[in-house]
Amino acid sequence: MSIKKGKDIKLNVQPIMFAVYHEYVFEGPCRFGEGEQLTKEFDMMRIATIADAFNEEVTSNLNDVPFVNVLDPLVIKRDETFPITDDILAECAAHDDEADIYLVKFHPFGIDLALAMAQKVKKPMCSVLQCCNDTGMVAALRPRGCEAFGWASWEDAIEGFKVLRARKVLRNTRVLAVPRNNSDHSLSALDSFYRHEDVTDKLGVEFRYYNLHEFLDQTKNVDPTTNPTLPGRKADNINDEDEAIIRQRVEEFMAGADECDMSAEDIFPSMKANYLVNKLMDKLDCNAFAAPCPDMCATRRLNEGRFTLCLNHSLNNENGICSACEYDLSALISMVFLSNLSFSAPYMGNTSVGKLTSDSGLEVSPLLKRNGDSYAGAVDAMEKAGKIAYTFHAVPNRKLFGFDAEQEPYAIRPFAMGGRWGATIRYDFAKDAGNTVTMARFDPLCEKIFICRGTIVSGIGYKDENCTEGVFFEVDNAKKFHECQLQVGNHVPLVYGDHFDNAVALAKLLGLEVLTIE
Amino acid sequence: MDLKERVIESERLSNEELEEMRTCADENDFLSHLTKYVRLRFLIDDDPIESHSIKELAERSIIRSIELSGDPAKLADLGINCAGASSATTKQLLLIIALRKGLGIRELDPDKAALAKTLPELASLLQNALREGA
Repeated sequence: MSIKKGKDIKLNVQPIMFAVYHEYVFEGPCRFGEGEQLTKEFDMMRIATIADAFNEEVTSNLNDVPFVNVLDPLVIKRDETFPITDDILAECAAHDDEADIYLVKFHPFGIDLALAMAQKVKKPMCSVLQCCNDTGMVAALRPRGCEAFGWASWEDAIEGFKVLRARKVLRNTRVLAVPRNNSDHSLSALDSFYRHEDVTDKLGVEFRYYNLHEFLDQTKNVDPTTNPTLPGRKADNINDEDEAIIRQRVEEFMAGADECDMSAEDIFPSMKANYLVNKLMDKLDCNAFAAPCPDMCATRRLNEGRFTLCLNHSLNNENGICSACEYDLSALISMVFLSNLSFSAPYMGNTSVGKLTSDSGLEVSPLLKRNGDSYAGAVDAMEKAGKIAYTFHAVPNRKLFGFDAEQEPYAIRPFAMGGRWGATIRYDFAKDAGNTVTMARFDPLCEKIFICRGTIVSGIGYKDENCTEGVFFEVDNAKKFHECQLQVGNHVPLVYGDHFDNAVALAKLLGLEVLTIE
Repeated sequence: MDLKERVIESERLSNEELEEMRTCADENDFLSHLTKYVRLRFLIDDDPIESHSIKELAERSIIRSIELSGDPAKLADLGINCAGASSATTKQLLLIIALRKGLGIRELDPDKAALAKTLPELASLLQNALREGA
């Protein structure tokens, strides 16, 4: 499969040097020197040495940055009359098909050319501290409606590139959205994006809708021209070859688990659903997924097929393909937003405040109280903690610490407690107490985003089944957390690590109002 | 020998090396003459430094020039031009211009010339230019 995953998308940085040489030997207010130093020959060689030093600087600072792709550098030479011609602009834009951002070096003048370039290619210009052109360029371009960035250090520049890359990923996100009755909303996520077109306009994310029943038909290994919803049309049904791969994946999944309370036969349908989701995403050039759980549940076809999409979401998320429960597209895009800053798999679920102060008792969803032992353990762990919020759904994953990190330990238990089907990953969040998490959620109008960080204090549900699995974290202000949630909605996805500053920077870049409790 | 006499003598001797380079076909001999030329022009012909790095030789030359003159201010002009070049870079680029003119080479590729980091690289560039111009 060749799904273009967000995590693999790189930011293409075009180093470009705007250089001036002098045709004549003369001195003046911006021209001084002595003898041969005033010749064109000296200038041309000086330009070569500066370009070489710039390339070395760029290479030494960016070559090991895995999410940046440095394009072949360009050196644009102009004479001292500072011409801007179509030919010069074409020379500047030689790699514009690939370039995402222009990293500019000036020798010694060229803000006029940077501005002309920005207006022509409509891409950002940026610079790392170089007196005094960097501040001059940024302050000149921004008021004219051109995007420009200036960073005081390479460390800052790399963080800036990280944020810009995440924006690029959003622009390249194509959601395979599998609705039942309403392609805008599912009944359990009416707090999701209100108008998808606004999201496309603002973030560049595209939504590709696919009929739920056509999807469910294709989970069956039958003659692909015999699906009830697509009679006579050859569809992409699971076939014998697919089944062999799926069985292999089930085997590996079971072998890697610390505990497994399910049979291979009961895990198989969930793994099959994940396989089909990916098969269709590949076919339709999609790299994110959402389907409505309650709406789909009501068809009874999941019961018939003996699977839920929990495992699908977990596997997709840890594989760099954001995948959200309940057709919550706000949560989904928030996951894309977060995980492309953290380079780790996101987690989402119902989110609420559990404790307003250290004196108050823990108040949680009745679902989480069903297993007395599990709940008591969480209560004990948080006895002295205050300002608690929590997130729970049975869709954790094994790559919360990073896509390139070691796989975390896990167990496998069913979602359906009677039928023992619907594979879920059980993850012990309690072992991660003390770790920072960063959370975010877009508001329904895609105008605001809630961004927050917290510290994990406990977990729940590792030993349980069903949806009763989650993580508790301490936040700065639980009451304000709740107030922010009233504006953005229920599911507030999270990633591990402190990515707050970059999340705020990305939100501002996207023109969003930032809601935060800090 | 005072500094002025030293500069005049070095210029005379370096011009002799330049003459040898004009007609020298052997690569090793050419490099040898170039090395002597550079050390003379940089006033480091009696310096124990054995580097082939043009930058290192230029930097060494600046140190020696300061020592010989006893007045660092005299060297200030080397580092001040609107190209923002350091004294060592300026020295290196002026050396290349002097060699090109002295050898009667009409044109040298500025990128290649400026980025020649060692004497063998520069020697190769100059010899090729001389052959092409012959």
